[in-house]
Amino acid sequence: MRNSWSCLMCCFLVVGLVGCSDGGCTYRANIGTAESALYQTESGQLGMSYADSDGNVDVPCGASVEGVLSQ
Amino acid sequence: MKPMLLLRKARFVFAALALFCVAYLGVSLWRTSAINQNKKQEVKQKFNARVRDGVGYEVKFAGRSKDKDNVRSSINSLAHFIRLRSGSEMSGRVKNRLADMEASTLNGNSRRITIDELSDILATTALERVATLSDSEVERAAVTLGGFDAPDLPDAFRRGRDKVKLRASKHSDLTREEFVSQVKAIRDADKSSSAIFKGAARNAAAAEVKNRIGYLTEAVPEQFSETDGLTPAQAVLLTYSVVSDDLLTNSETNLRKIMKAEQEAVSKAIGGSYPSPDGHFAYGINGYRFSTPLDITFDEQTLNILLNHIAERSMQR
Repeated sequence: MRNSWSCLMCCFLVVGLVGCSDGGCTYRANIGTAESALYQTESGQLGMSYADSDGNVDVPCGASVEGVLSQ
Repeated sequence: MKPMLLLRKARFVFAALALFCVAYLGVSLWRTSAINQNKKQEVKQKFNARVRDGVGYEVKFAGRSKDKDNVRSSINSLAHFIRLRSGSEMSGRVKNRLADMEASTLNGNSRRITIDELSDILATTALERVATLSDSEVERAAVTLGGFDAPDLPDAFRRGRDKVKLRASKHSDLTREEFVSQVKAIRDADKSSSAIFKGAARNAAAAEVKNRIGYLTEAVPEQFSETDGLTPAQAVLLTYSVVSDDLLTNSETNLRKIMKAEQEAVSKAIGGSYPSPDGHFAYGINGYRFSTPLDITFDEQTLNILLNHIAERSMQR
């Protein structure tokens, strides 16, 4: 369990949406019928995430997300 | 009398207004919930269609057929499906053993395993395999779990490769060093610590297996049923799906088209070029969509440990 102060702060700020787990601070975004999402963190790092069976992706706190291909 | 009348009228207007507000709020909430429900339904329907196009269309289980050739061709279709998506090759020895076990189950000489048993088997197999890993294998696994890499991968993506990603849908802040030290700690753990790790591994495996069984029984009920239990071939397919995080969606042809379209869409979004999927598999080692060390987690040694446990359980009545 990684419980850095920034993660704890982040978790308190967005209760219910944000989870602190082994993955650090993340929030869940639903990308609908898109299979993949492109996200960009506050520091400019880019990443791809692939939706689970409910269309959800967990991305870093503060990152912007957009579905790549909606079908 | 006049102020009293005015007060009554004001009360009436206020009550009517309050009623209107409550009704409006109720209708709005109902509409929002109905829209969300429709949206969820649409996501589910499209996902199920992709499952039918993938595992539903490309893997042919023998069903109730006990015919030896049918069983053999079902194992071949399973191995072919996995190879096209991840490059992971099932050896002839493993395919023969799996075909024998599948035939024995369909003949009723051994029983199907339950979903809970598969979760337990996955946890046991994982811990037994981890116990045999060398330091260099652990380090190689950490690099593979950093994600897809190519010489022309933009720097903004490459920076994320020093983190280890354990699931395709979930970002992780776990560094390579942390991953390596945690896996080594599991490998070198004493008996009592191993029991704790096994409990955690079983819970994680159960969540993954149950999620997959949930949508597979819905999307391809002719192939998977929660009540019937799992044949060895179904158990191996689910194991592949869990360790590679391949959700078994989309046929190979459509997977290629989607990866190409993703490359174009990402290139457009970042205003530069993103590496081509040509020459890469979607899953497995350096998978274009999700990279996992299948050379360790789904190799002959691991598959044999898995089949040993399945055989052991399926002989118990």
